[in-house]
Amino acid sequence: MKFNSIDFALFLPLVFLLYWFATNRKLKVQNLLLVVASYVFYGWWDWRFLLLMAFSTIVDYSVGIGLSNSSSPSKRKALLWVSIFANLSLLGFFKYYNFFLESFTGAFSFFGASIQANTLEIVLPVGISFYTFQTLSYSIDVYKRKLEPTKDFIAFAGFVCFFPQLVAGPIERAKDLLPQFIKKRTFSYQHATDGLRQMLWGFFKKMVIADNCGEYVNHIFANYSEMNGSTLAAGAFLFSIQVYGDFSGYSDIAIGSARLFGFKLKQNFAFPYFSRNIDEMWNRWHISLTNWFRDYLYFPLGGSRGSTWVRVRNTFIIFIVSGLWHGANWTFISWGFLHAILLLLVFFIGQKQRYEGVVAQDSFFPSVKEFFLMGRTFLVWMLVTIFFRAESMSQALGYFKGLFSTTLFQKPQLEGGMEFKILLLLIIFCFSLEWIGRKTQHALESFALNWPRVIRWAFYAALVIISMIFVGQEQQFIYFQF
Amino acid sequence: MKKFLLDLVLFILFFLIIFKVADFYSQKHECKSLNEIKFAELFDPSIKADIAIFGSSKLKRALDPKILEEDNISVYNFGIEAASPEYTYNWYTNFFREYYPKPRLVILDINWSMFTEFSFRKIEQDSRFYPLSEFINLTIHSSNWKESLLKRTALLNRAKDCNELTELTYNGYTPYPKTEKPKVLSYPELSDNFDTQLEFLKKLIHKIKEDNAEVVLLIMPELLREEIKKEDVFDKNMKALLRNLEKEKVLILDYQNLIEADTMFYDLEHLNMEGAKMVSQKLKDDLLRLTYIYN
Repeated sequence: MKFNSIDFALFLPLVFLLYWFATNRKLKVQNLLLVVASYVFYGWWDWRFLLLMAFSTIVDYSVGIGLSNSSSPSKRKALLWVSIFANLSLLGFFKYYNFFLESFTGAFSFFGASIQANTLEIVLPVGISFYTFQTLSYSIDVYKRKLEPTKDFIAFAGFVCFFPQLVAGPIERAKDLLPQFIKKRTFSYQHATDGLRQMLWGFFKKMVIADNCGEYVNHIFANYSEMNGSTLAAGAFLFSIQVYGDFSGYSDIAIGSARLFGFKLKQNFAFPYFSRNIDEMWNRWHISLTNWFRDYLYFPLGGSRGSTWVRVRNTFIIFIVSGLWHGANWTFISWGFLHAILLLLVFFIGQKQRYEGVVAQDSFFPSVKEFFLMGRTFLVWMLVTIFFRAESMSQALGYFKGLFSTTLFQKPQLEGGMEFKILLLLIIFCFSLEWIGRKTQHALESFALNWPRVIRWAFYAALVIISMIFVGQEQQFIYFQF
Repeated sequence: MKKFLLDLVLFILFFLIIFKVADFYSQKHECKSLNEIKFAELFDPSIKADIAIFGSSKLKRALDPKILEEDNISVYNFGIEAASPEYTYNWYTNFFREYYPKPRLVILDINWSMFTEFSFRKIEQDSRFYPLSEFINLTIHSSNWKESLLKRTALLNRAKDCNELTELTYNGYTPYPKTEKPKVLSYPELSDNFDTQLEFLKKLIHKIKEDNAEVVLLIMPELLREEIKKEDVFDKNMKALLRNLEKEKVLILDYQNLIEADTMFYDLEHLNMEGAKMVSQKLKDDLLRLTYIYN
């Protein structure tokens, strides 16, 4: 089920009412309702893939129980490998089988040998990359004794399939989310209203900003070979806005929905386009995935401790794996590879200073230097993101060739559903509100809260109406494909 | 919880008032789109066309009723973007037959993109232009009821198509302006719904003939890219289509290669106002020569 659908508009209030009024007396029944609702939510897309999720749930629950009953290091290690093998096999088969097969046969033909191999028509189950990582983190944490395994199967199933964040994250850690399933939840007016505000902002970013940018982007990328450089630059810019609006919008809807049920999910995007370098950008972009890779891959490999070589090697490993996580295509691997280089450049020849707080911490406007740094970071990000959007390496390289040509200074040829001037105004409006709210969890967290109620409500109503009037042609959530 | 639910209900009521005001304002001040005018003509005919033009944007943008009409012959261009044979069949049987006086001649386009995702129009998406009874009927009986409901009630896309009407707009036709060079278009994936669309096309032709109207099929000029020309599916589909239509005994006018000059095109698929003038005149000459409509 998609968030931006009538189905979800009916589903969410129904589950909300059942949750707080019909099942609120018993935690187990309330959790069971969430599990059933989550399976309905997921099965709305394709019920057959529920079996995969159930399989992953049973495996990791059993591994957790097994780990709690065993003190033998070798047995514990074997159990951990069962979880890793089961989850990565699912992911490997559904996501990477064809990619590796094609790359393998391609490599052979490059050296003159020809081998026959049949690819399979495999449908990628929505959200598989998200929930397998979530369940994996549980088994790893239990193995490392950082987390007590749960014996409550329903609570564990709820942790794996919780519908707000099931198909595109945020990827929650068991230590953060699982206890929320085990402890009785109470309704909070502040949390629920804040959740609704965050959802509203998420819908605006997805339906108005991302989907309208998407119409331009699709046209430009599909015809990149016939576009002039300035149009290609506009395409790269709009895609950067699209991917942010799409994914951060999804995360906002997910986090906001979860708040309605008394859950607190982690912030997934902390206004990344206001970052002063790529290092900061990666601390603010898709935070739950970045942290996952940091904790379960980068640190176990040695992190940044040890020699320079170890740091370089580990940075390349996590970014290439992160690229591969996003998609089984060389474009994603190149995207990850380039980001590794950029990050290492920041470490070794750029400013070594780490930016922890938000930009312009004590003032409303950024300084000229901050403005320049943000612009530079966005520009670099935008260029690398071309690999993220391109369907093949040849398209990505062709795009760059067209972009950096003499036609870069010609008038752009922009074709989309909405007038470009209006889209630009909406983008400015969106990022202005994000700038104002950059010190909070989401743009509407504190914005307008001090206004008189009628004016505040008029603002929210206007935002809904703007979203209706200017809704773009629906584009699938980009991160569903991962 | 009580406070939350009360606030929520109050907000929804508050929102509905603002929504109604916005809806009222948008209806009053909204620029009329050409499609809105077309549906007004369909459901409340004033032109009562003798020659009705059905089909996609290729015709909407290229056939000028002013050139085709005569003192005793009225012409209306009902062409609409992304119309597939399936769409036109549903539109014809659900609305045109019910509301519009029978024309004497129907001009219909056939083109390669009717087998692609480009022909995506559904009758539900124009629900806000229909009489209330038709809207209710459609919403109750259509599997696509959500779209029908949303498009009528949720102000969706009200701001689009505002700049379509020009001083050259006439009886459903509005031409594209002249541009420096034809605009680039995204080409769709050729899909495999050929058989379905062909069936709808045949059924549509039969229905029109049942209603005692003559049918003329038109293949419009376009600047096809080499890669599309080379597509097996394209070639196979067009040939199979023409072969199938031979049995239907309808007049097919093939203008595919009538115009090749870039200067006559707005984009790779649509003529501009100059090209439209030329093709409309050519059509009139052919209709005079090959049909009895002007007699």
